[in-house]
Amino acid sequence: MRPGTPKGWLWRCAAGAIVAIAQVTLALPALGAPPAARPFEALRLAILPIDNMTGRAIPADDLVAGIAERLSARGIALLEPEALDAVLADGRVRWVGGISGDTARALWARHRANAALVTSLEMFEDGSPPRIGFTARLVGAGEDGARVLWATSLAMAGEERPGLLELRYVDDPVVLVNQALDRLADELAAFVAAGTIPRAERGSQRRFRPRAVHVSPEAPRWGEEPLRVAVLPFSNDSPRRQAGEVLSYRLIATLVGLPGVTVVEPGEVRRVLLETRLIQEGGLTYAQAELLRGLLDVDLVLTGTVFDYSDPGTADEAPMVGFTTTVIDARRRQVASVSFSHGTGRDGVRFFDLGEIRTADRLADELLRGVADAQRR
Amino acid sequence: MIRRRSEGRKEHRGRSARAVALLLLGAALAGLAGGCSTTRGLESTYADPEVDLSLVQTVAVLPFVNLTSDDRAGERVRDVFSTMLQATGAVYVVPPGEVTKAVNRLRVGKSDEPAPEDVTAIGSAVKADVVVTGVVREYGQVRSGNSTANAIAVSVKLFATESGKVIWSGASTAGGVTASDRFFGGGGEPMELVTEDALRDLIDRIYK
Repeated sequence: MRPGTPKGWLWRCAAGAIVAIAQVTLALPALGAPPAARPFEALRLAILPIDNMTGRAIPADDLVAGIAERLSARGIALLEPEALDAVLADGRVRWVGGISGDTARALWARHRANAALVTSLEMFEDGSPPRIGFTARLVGAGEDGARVLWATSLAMAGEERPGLLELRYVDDPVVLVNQALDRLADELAAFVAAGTIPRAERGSQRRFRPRAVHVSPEAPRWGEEPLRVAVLPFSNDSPRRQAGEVLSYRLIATLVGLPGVTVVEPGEVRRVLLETRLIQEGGLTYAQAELLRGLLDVDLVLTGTVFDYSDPGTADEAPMVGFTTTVIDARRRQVASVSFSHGTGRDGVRFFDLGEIRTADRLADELLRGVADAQRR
Repeated sequence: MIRRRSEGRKEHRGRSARAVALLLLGAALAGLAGGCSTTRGLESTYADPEVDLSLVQTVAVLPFVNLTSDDRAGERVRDVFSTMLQATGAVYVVPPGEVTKAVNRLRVGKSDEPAPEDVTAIGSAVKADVVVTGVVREYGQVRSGNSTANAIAVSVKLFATESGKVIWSGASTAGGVTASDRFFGGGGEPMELVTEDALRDLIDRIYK
């Protein structure tokens, strides 16, 4: 058919329409993706030293080496430890539970490292059964500072899935640590390959939903509009050391995957809290929330109080976690939502320990997922 | 068939004995079920008949007075109470940080009986219609024989910020050693659930 004839013009129009529809269809899944998506062809990752929140000695160097080995094997380029040490030493950085904008800029400017992996080890028991729990965040580094790209929270116990005749009972801490590090490396490599965080496969379980919750009708709807959120360390009223920080890191890992939600890197939140000498005496005030809004450009400030955060001491005991959350809408100067959650690892367990949770960290993840789901309703 | 009177009497006696046994068993089960549920103390409530609590829009909850050996009991109970009160959706609860700021600025001491002028001042500082005070009298494990269980005793008062007068007052207890704890052990409910039970009872009575 010769070009220019009426039929040829029709064919071209039809072909153009098909291509346009195909492009729109392919682009649709990306609409709900978090804003972290960025090409990772030239990822150069700095693995920060482990932030030890266990209150006891841990094999920190072995853990970092294990993570580095696994990430290298999955094709992720790593920054040399000596180069990272120099940046940390020059910036007099001692706290490694997060990364400030200045450190992120230094990593980028001096070594072209465009991301850092922040790992906080919250539980490490090498007895029998062994237990491990940690959170990890991939923080983008560049001229614009630090921003959370991806986060995960893991908690594993040797006795959690014993299987038939206890064939899957893990008694060796090395085996459990290897399983945990493999999972971390797999999840991170999957994110780096895809550039987006996969949506949560399931919602919160009914047994772990908040016992009391209220979301203000005027509060911004999570998932319906882009929101920038700062999570402050929770106030700790539990006997567990640093339970407030543990819960806030785990909450960040829960929120990072939500569509439209950008979570401020805790290192930046900490820098602002220290620089402004902001102390939450008796809780957060409207003025403090407004100050954080001005300095961190956030819409919502999230904080709370932890009452219970205990791991089982014996096989007969169950982990127990209890906390309240408060979300303050910094733009409107009002409480956007409150919730009260409490649970034990045996809640809702009826037959043969099916569904039982053996670590406080995993229980906290389930309860926090319930809180996050409640915000979206 | 004609039965002898003595046989009928025996049968009747047998039936009566079975009925009595069933009654006793039922009573024992009812008692056990009662023992399994949370114990509740005497409910004492005062409500000002001239005040309609459904018209209250904003509430400020002051730090609770803690009369227990647990240093953090007052803050814990107050935090859960504030959250549960707001979760009713009936009122807006001023964030605790705002209340603390106002209390510090006005130099109001921690008390469950603030002076009327203090109530009015706090109310105008945080723009609240009602100020709530509370006292935690018992919080933690109680023992009865060889059994232990968690228990709480808490009371709250609502003050109108306009007049500084008490408009509602109530107390509640929850938890404690039950019959099932004595028979089967178990140690009772976790402290937070016992707290929730007592506070839910108080909030239900406020809006009754």
